[in-house]
Amino acid sequence: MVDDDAVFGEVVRVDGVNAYVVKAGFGSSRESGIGEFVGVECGGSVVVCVVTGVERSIPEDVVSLLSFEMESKYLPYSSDLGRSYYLVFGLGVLSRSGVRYGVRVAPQVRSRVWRLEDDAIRKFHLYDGGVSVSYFNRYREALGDDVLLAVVDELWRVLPEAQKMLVPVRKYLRGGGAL
Amino acid sequence: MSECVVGVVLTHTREGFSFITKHSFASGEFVCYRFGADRVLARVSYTEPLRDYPVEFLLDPEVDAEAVAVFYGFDTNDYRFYRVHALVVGYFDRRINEFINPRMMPLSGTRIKRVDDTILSDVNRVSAGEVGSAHIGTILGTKTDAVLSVRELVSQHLAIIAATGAGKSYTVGVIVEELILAKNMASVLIFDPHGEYGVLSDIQNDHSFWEEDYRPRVRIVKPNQIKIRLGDLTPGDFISIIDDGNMSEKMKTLFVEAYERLKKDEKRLTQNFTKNELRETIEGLSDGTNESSITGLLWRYDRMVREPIFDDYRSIPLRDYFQPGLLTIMDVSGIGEWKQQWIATILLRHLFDAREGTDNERYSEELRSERYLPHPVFVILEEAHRFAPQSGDAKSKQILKTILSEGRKFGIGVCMVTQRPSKLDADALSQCMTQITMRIINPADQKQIEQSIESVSRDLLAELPALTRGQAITSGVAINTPIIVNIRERRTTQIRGTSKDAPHVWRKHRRDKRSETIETRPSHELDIGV
Repeated sequence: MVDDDAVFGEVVRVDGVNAYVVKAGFGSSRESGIGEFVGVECGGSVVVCVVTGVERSIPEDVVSLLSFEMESKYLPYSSDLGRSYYLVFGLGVLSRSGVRYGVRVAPQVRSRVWRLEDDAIRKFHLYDGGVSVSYFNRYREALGDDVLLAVVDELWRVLPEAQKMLVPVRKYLRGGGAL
Repeated sequence: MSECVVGVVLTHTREGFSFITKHSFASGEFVCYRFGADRVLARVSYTEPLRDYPVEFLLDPEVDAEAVAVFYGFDTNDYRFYRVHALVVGYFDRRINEFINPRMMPLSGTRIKRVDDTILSDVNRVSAGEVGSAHIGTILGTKTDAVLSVRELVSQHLAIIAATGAGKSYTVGVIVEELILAKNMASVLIFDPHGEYGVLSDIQNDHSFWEEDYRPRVRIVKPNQIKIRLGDLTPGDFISIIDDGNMSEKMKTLFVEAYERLKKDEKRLTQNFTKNELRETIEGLSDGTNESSITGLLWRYDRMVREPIFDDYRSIPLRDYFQPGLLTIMDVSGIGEWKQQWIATILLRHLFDAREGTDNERYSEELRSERYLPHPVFVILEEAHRFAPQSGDAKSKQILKTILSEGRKFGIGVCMVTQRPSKLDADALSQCMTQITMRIINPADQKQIEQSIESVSRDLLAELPALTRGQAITSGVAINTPIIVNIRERRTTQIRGTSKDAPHVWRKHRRDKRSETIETRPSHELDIGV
């Protein structure tokens, strides 16, 4: 599956089939930005996710008031304030059998999370014989245009052959229907 | 053609309804839906795409918008639907032979079907081929015949309106062919200011027009054969011809006096008079005090009667021009416009008198047989705006308007053909109860049509600039509902009113000239082979 060195955190909360909170590990070499792709293990497959935000604003006084029993309810806010808690959104599944956009099964809490290699990102977007970002349309409302624009920047680097297509998509997301 | 569902009603408004479909419909095409036991006919007024691609996907022509849409995750099938707006025509009630508007719009979800020939043929009052029918083409987007009722067409007048090059003369040719076929055997006269209808003489030699012992005839009257008999003119006619703007009231009074004296002369056997007789009568009014007026009057009179068109005896022989199964083409090309108006005036005046007098039994084979005309007639007036102009005056305008308003009673039908409806008298145009309107681009002309033709809805008129050559909006009493028609092919040769291929003619002319020219060159350049 994945090299332990590449793991940068674990799922600490599952808000829905697509939305998870990932607690970054101490050993994480750099901060992740929105629009970056991460993989979350889920059974024998990988849920391909995109980072949509980060949380660090946990008031200490609130933390100190929480009982041990309540920690599980208020995870991740009950633990290390020095760490980053990333909000990630599951776009689809990468498995041995191929690529499927959309997530039906959420990963478990404590599932490992790692930054996806360029090859895996390319594989995820070379879908159905062509280059595709068709999850843009499906999840535009959930992700918001800023996150999608960050994804476009990411893909610009990883999928140079899709740049001609990404130009109108970027313009469309920036314009928000203004034209 | 089987009835098949092509769409579903989305919503409706006070004016019409819209439906969603994957099929493309042209404006003017028909669809139908069920309303109880009836099938309601509706006409497509316009079509718009249900959904457009984002503009950003369309800015780079190098990138295929559909490919970007697929890349982004749009379902491109969604972009293949149309929202079609349609107006309800109604269901056909065979008891009264009319379309009845149900006054209820179809609800959302109602299934829309493509029309079949059965329902579509209800737009025709008569069937193709039957007596009193004129098959002018097919209904747009179908193979269903468009057939006009000749009975309504010729009794309640016809207007053919089209910009130049839209196929106006061609359509006139089609109408004439239909009228002259054995199923109608009409008596038709074309007033032809451009001499372009001569090719219709093919009709009499074309076997497709023959039936049993019926052989249609075509008579072409050349400009030099057209005469106006002096005795057919009224004093008002004379004065309006000879008055150059400087004619005094005294001269006019003297002329009327001479005219009346001549007409009342009991020694004369007929009502007619010659040029010399009228001249002598004018001279006879001289009493020593009015010499200058008489001289001025005679000078003007002589100038008029020198025109070869005015004749002592010959006039327009109505009974030779109007016979069932006879097409008369009055070629007035090369004759000045005011003289054309006079010819039209005298023709129409005689015609009205003849038909009215025959119907009221003032004329018969025995009594003034030259005016006895015992059958309806149909007159086609090309460049009709010259004879009934909207502004200004034309001598023919009054009699034309009289015929348009009263001609129906006496069986005189008029077809007014024009390319400038805005220059045609609005009342005259509105009296034409059947209209064949082809491509019109000029906004003033479109406005005039909108104001004068009540039977055509605005949505159809909006199509006028977009009609292609040979397409016509056909409306009025000769058909049950307005339709767009693809005019059928003519049986006879194309009329000469087509545009010249000028570059081709120039090149040919130049080549022909060069081959006629003996080329000269300096002697040292000539190799004579000795």
